[in-house]
Amino acid sequence: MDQPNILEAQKLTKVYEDGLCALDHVSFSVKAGEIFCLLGDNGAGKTTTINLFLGFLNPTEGIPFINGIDVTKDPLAAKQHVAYLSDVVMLYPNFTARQNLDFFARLGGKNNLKREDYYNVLRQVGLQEKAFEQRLKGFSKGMRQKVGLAITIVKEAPAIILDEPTSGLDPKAANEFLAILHKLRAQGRAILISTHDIFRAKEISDTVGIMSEGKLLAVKTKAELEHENLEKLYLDYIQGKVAA
Amino acid sequence: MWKMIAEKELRDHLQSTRFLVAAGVSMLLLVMSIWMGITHYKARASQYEQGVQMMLDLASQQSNWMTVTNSAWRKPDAMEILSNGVNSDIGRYSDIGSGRDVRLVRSEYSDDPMLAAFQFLDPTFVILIVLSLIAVLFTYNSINGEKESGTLKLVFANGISKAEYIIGKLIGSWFAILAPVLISFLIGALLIILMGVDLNGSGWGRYGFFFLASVLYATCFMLLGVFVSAMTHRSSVSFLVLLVIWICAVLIVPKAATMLAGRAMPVPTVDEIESRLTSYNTQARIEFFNDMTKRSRARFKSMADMKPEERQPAIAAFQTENEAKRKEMEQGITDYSARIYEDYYNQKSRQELLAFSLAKISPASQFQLATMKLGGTDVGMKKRYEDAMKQYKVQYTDYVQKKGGGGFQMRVSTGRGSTTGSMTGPPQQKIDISEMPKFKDPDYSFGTSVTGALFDLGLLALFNVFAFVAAFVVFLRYDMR
Amino acid sequence: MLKILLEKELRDIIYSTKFAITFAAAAVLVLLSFYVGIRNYQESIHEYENAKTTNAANIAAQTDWRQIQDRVFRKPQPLEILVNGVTNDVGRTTDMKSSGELNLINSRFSADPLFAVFRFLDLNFVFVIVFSLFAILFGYDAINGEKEAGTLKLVFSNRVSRASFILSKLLGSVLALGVPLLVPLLIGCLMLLGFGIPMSGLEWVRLGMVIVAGLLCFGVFLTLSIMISAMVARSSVSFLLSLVVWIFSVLIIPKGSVLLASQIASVPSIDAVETQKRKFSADQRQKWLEVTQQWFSSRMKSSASFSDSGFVNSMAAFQDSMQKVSEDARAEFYSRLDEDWRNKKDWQERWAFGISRVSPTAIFQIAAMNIAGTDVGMKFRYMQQLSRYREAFAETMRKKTGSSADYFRIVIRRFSGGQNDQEEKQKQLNPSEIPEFVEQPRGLGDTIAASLFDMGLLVILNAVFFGGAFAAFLKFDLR
Repeated sequence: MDQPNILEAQKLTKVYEDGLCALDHVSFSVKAGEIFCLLGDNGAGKTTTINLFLGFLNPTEGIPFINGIDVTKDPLAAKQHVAYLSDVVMLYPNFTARQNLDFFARLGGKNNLKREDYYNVLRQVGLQEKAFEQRLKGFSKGMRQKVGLAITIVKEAPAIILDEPTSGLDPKAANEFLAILHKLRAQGRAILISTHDIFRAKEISDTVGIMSEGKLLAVKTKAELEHENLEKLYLDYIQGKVAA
Repeated sequence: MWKMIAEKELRDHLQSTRFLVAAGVSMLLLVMSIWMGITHYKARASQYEQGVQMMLDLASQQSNWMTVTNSAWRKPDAMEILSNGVNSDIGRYSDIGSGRDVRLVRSEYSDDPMLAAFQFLDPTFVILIVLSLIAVLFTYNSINGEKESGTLKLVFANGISKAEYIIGKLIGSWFAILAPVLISFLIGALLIILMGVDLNGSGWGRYGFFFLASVLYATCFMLLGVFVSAMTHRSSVSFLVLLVIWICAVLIVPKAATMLAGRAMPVPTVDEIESRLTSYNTQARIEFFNDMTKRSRARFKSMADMKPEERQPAIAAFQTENEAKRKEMEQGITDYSARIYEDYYNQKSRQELLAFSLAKISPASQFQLATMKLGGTDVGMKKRYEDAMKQYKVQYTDYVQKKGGGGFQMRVSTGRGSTTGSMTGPPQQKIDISEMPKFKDPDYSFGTSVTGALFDLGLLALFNVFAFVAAFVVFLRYDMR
Repeated sequence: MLKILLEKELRDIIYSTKFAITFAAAAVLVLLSFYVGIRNYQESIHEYENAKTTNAANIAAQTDWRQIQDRVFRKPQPLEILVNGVTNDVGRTTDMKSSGELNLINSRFSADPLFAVFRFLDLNFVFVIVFSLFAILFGYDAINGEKEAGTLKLVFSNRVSRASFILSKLLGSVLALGVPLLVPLLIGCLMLLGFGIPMSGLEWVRLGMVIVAGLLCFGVFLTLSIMISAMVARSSVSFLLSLVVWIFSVLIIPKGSVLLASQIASVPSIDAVETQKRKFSADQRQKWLEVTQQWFSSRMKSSASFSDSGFVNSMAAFQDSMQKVSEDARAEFYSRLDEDWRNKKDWQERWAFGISRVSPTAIFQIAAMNIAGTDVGMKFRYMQQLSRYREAFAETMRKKTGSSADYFRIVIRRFSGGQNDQEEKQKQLNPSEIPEFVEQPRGLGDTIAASLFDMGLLVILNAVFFGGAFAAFLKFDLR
């Protein structure tokens, strides 16, 4: 394991003002070329973890690192090295697919991409050609998701964070989506995915972290999981049958 | 089944923040505007009492009818609480006396431009602007919003017909709009009673009709909202479309219609009419004097040979003749003035008819015109009062003429007429005004106001029917997907 | 970074259907208000000229200066058509006389209640109602709408600072909405030129000031609604809030403040003043009658005939002296009464406008009316000019008639005068011998002084809400 840690959580803890402990000493790391899946129910703390990585929240304790940069210290610098896709991908309905991509690419620091470059990325995520220059108003969820993915790809950041990326995708689209993820992994990106889809998690990830009520209960590699029933394991963990 | 839908719709509204805020605001404003109306009315009523009293006091101090300046005052009517209409635009009183034209002067707005700068906040205005906006706000997403949230499909997965659904929906929304209006009208009625406004049976009847008009008007916009919502698939679009419709109906059409009518049917201005009268008047007087001069010259010539005792009756005869001629001339002026004013008013009423017919495309104007009729503050108000005052002027001048017999007759000439007075008795003796005729406001009964408003109310109802049918039909063909 | 965000903001607004529809509506209304104003102006100028001509003709038809009935008409001003203010509520006509009180009568709305029913559509109205609504429609979801669409998180997953985002949001909205609005306004100005509305340089400056004030008012609503959007998480809630703010500031506060002010600072009814005046003039008339009666009876004993020229001359002298005394007394008494009432009224107006300034639209309206000269002081200023003119008028009449008496006048016709018709043919009058009344517009300095405070307030409000939106967004929960 000589790959560097691209994303790293050190004892991340978040206690809200109302006393709710959303995250309790969560530590994990994602290396380059690794897909890490945070698996858990709604409210388990997956989105809070992501929010901490993006500096949308400040941790009560612990530090999130992106590419070795402390997010709490220099969030702007850290964010140069991460591409993110949110759970709600409505994007700008008045912009075309290409315009949306263009805007976010330039925000990500890609200032001199040509129209053709954008088309290539859009093609890569499998959007139909005729939709490239159409406004997003009429797009289906799957189509918008593809544009969102294109946005994360085009940034060419070493770290990628995807919040519930496969929810609402049809099997074909989900498959295409997986193919792209594998390609990105092959390019050496560190990918952090949050999901509550056990099967998808097992299928795509190199490592799975099981979360419940703010705690990271277990981290299992693909090799470890090969002989186990993830679903059973997951249910056991969250019901407290197996000690963390 | 429709009952269930209506119930759900009503509950959905009642539990939303939107309802809480909108209903709260509209109730607050309606009650506030009624309160303001009452305060304004009471201030005006006491101003009226004061004005009349002061006028009478002043008159009673005079020792000569000639120095009395009588005026007829418009008595404030409690109904103007609901609709101020043109009430503040037209003069509050007119001086009455021979040789004076009846002219309503000193309107509230001209006396107090501060009021004119922002104008009045009467319940009509609140309903016109706020209630209609709220009705639109309640319904702009009533159909396509349900589609966006997916509940439409869920509902229609059950055994319910589209007709039942839309009926239930409309009834539910209607009650949600009715509730704040009803409550504020009840509070308003309470305020009227508590603050001691003397409203008679006719007044309460008109209050009831005003409520009816408000409900009809709000329903109109509610139906329009549902209609547009069922025409479009995205609530953001339907809101925009409705906003444009609202702006046009409430703000643009009424103003544009009157301006268009003003252009299409120009009517001479009052200044022009008055100038014409002046020039006729001048001409007639000049002719009269020239004629008199000629005749007097002839007389004097013929009298030259008379004996002194013959002269006295001759002069008297000449004076009688002159007086007759003068009467004739003044009658001529009065007739001309009546003719020219009649013509003017005919033209005006044709212009008004055109303006209002055009404006009535919009339910907002239908509502506004109906409420002004109910409040007695419609455009006809000015003429009603002027006519009543003209009648009163005849009464009054006859009375003064009778009173003013004997003594030293004197004619005071002002530019546009003359006042006859007489100096009777010693100046110290004050005149008795107790028998002086009093001005009575033109009769504007319940019947007149309601018949006046009925046409517009009917139009409003008709508009409701159209909007209802449109919403119904469009929804029957609505694409559920 | 700012540039990219700004560019996106501009595009996002301009590409939207919302913009297309609302901008079209606003543009049509602006042009309509200009057009309507221009036609109205042309019409009222025409009416004004007509009235003047007939008045002159009426004077020319007379043969005796003592018999004339002169009227002065208020000339319509081009700016009045764009900012109506109180112009339609203030009388247009004055019966000119050498003595006695001058009154403005026949205001447009009192003469023609038809137009009072719905009132006019002027530029001021478009600014107040339509532009402010337009601003709110784009501001209410500027921040929380992006959150709901998920784009806020996406944007902030990049190296974007909050400050640059909110700055570009504010600047972008102002530019994308404000600049297009200038287009119909400029076309409107071109229409003024095209229709040949006589506007002086000063009037152009004043029109420019009105437009600036209008855009400032627009800016207040835009920044205010963006601030609300940054303070509330859900766009449906911020929309309601903005709408409530709009209803209150556009419709309720201005009207309410006037009524509130009349409760706080009460002013005696103007009728009381009027009655005092009437009482005074009735007393005067009574006195006049008594004195005249005495005079007549004393003269009748000494003189045999009214037609005696000595009698006529001495009567004129007598009337003149009476007139002088009574007019001076009247002017003094009236002006004291008026000033007293005016002072109280001023106090009340200060209250009313002070309270109404809670609302940005009221501030704009006050500023615009002051700039256009159609504010509440309009009537007072006009009357002042008119009474100054009256001195010139009275002087002319004195010269023409040899007497200043016109209020209490006895005209004695000499029936037995000349012996032939030739002598009786008197010359017709030349109305141009009466000096013409020309209203002096307020100077630039006065206009600026009158509107500076409100313009300043608008600028400050813009700054406050801009800062408020900025501060609110720095604390905005991005999740």
